[in-house]
Amino acid sequence: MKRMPRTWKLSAVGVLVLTSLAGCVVGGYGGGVGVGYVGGVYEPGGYEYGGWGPGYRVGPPRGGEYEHGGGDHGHGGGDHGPGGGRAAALDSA
Amino acid sequence: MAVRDVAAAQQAALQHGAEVLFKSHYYPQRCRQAVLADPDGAVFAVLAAEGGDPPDYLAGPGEWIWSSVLVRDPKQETAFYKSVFGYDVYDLASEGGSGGDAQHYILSSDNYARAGLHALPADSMRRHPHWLNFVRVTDAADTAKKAVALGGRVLVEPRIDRHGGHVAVLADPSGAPFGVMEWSDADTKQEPK
Repeated sequence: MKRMPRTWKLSAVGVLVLTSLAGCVVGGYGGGVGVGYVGGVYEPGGYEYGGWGPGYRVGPPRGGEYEHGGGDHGHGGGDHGPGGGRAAALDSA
Repeated sequence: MAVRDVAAAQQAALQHGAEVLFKSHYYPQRCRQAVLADPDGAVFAVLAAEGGDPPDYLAGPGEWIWSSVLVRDPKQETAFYKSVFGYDVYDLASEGGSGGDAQHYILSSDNYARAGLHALPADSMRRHPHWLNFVRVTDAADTAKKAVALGGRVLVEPRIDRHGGHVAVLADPSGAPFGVMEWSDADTKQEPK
């Protein structure tokens, strides 16, 4: 596992086309709407959220948080941030 | 995930424990896509757009800005996404981040943070591993109110997240969950790619 850089760039997530296409094929792998996939079918999961305690955080870090972690973490100063959903190894072989 | 070769990505995912839910399929003039479930069962798609991928840019309000995958086995899942898609994996908790007791990781490439990978909350074993996408908003609380007024629901109330802005999880009227995230770009360094 690499050490976290202190500078990340930001980018939109290109999921709109993906979402629309997934909507077209949802019936092809079990049907239904939800977030859980179990045993070949989706399970509706929209109302099962909760349990996100105070330490449960899902967003990207900013530079400030990391700077307070101490130590030399390489790279220049700045902010971390969200980026688009694309693979690093695009060939994925 | 945007990939160059959907069939190759599908094969690599299979070799690392994924399941194919909808095999590689070509949509004329749009893309080739396959829908998979990762080893933990979180559903995602790999997609190669016909015209290639747009350059990275900071999402504006109303655009999708962030993705997170909530899983039962973060170690297995980070290994999967690293092996199949080549992401760099950063452990927020061990790197001085405020990850709390749960395990939190960042998947990145080209110095872009692409997604978060998180252990499901301890009391959420009834819930299944899943990807959750976030729309950038200027006011998460206001957006939540609007969503409720339009027939949606608030699944996770607006709360401060590690980046300093609020996030919330909402469901649209059909029950599909999505996140909203405030993001201030006033001090963000944008670098041309």
